[in-house]
Amino acid sequence: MNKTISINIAGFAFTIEEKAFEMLNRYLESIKKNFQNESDCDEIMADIESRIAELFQEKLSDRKEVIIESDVEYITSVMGQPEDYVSEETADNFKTGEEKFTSEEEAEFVEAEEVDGKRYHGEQRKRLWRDEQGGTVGGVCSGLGWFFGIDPVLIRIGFILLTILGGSGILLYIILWIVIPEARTTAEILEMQGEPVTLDSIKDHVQGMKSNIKDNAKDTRKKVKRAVDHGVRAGSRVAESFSRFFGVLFILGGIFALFVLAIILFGDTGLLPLVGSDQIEDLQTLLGILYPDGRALLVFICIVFVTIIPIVSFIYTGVRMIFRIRHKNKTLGIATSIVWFLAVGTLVLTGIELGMNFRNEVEIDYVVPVETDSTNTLYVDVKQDDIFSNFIEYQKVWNYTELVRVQDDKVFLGYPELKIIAKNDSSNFEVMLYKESNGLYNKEAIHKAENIHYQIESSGNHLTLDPYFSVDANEKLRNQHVVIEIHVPQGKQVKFGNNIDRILVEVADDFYWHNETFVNTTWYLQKDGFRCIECKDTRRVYNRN
Amino acid sequence: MSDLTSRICERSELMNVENTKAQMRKGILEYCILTVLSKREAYPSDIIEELKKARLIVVEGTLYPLLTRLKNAGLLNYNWVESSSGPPRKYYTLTEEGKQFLTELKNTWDELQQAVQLISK
Repeated sequence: MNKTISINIAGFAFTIEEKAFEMLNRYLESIKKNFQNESDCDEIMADIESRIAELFQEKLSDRKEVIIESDVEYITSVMGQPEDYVSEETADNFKTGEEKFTSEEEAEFVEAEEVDGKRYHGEQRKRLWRDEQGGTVGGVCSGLGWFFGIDPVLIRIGFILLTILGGSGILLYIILWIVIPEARTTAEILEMQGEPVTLDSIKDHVQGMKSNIKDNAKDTRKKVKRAVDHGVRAGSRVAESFSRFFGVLFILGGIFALFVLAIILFGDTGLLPLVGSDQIEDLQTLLGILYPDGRALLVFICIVFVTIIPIVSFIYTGVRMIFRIRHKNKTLGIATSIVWFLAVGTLVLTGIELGMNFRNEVEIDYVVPVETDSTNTLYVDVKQDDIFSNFIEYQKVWNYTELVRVQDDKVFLGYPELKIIAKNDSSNFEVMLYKESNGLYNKEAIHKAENIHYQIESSGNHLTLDPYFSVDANEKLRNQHVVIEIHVPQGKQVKFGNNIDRILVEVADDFYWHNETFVNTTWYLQKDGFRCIECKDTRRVYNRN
Repeated sequence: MSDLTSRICERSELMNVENTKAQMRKGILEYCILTVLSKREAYPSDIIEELKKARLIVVEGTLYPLLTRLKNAGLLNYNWVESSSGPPRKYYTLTEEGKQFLTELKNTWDELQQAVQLISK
């Protein structure tokens, strides 16, 4: 008589003799020891148990209801001894089980042997390949790292420094990317890593690939170990923290850039270097008054893509550096690159199109009637400026961008020019108004020139000029200009009134000659040129004519 | 260095024929399993039959951890199939990745075979 126990294997109930149970239990325990450190231990054990259950089922019948020791022995004969379950990673350990090496020592021993072999006759086996799987961008640094036996992070930092210091890093990288072939086959990868291409090494590599997928921690351990073998453990740590540090910088820099970009793209133009203060609401308005109809939005979208994609990938790189993410989404990378290049291409094409719109230049002349009385003086005033400030300071160079303003579908341009020219062949004043514009065709340019709104009020010997001219926003900015010319006969004079400093004044050919004011000055044409009556400095007599 | 050299020598003495044979077999075991599965969907016992014929393995135990690892590496997939004589069975098939992997292994194997033949001449 024997005692029996009821057990459950893979969901099936079996009645088993106590001795047989102990035997089976020992058997399963010793199998389990082989895998207990592995993540898929439970799954392997479940598979084994369900096979055992199946084999037991075959052994049982109506006549035989209890599992006995001989059945368990049968199981071991079919399934094998515990050693037979050994996974390949620990196989060597079992083979040399009698030796005193522990698994860890053994592994190191094997690696040491490999390193040794490399040193004596394996150097020529090593070749330079790109390591796309292990790399960040194109695997150039990773490949170089394998080749020189140093941590790729150090090489990456080198490239970044080269880029920051001289800007040649990126160029060098691209050249290497093109020149160095990518390691695709197992043999090539082994060659890149400087390992001999043998059955064993291919097996090891295959193993490595699998453990790569299933266990990243192991992978890191392996890498660290490699670093130890090459004697740059400390370097690797420094490099790692450097990589993290740069990752943080990348992210912070990227976010800052994104912030600035958002303001430029969607907010006030104050940050746009070309456009001053609050003259133009935002970038879209600026594009709207430049690009032909329907192009502005397209250009805007392209600008958004062209600027945001590099910043976002910058941040992405930073995140990867911090969290040491090795996996990369190639499709996403390719797609964004394509979008970026398309956007750049579109910007170039629309830019060319925009340039074509400036092809023809046209000038329309108007004669402004004036009458002079016996005083022989023409008075010139400028109206109060309700758009731009009345007190724009004259400078050596005008900041035209501060004199553009979009308001109510109109573009106000605050830089009409006034030219005072000596006229020797007549005794009458002559006032001319020129409206100028560029355009795709002559006709268009004429149309645009005609549509410049500018008023000169003339009564007797008084002229009152607008401080600005304007065009409709849908006419677009096509280098529209307004020039007023006053031809002064000899012995007569022009007297400037209030606000004259608001517009550009040129006496003879001396353009913006002064840092002082033109307000309330009188310019008398002598034989040898204009002379300022009120000015104290007598050097300001102009002899250009 | 001398210590290392002596260890290597010590180790090579310990290497016997059986050991080398076992190593060689283990190396190509995965290749063979994948090859068997490339022909048809199979249950571990079916695979073992094939491998037994080829005298690569004699016990089933070796197979289970290998299959699980290959599956977790994304090279294999399995379907549960009901069985009349026990728990449901896992029928393994090759995934796309597994097929690629096999092709690569096959190329390498062919290369190695040629290399061995060339050297043996």
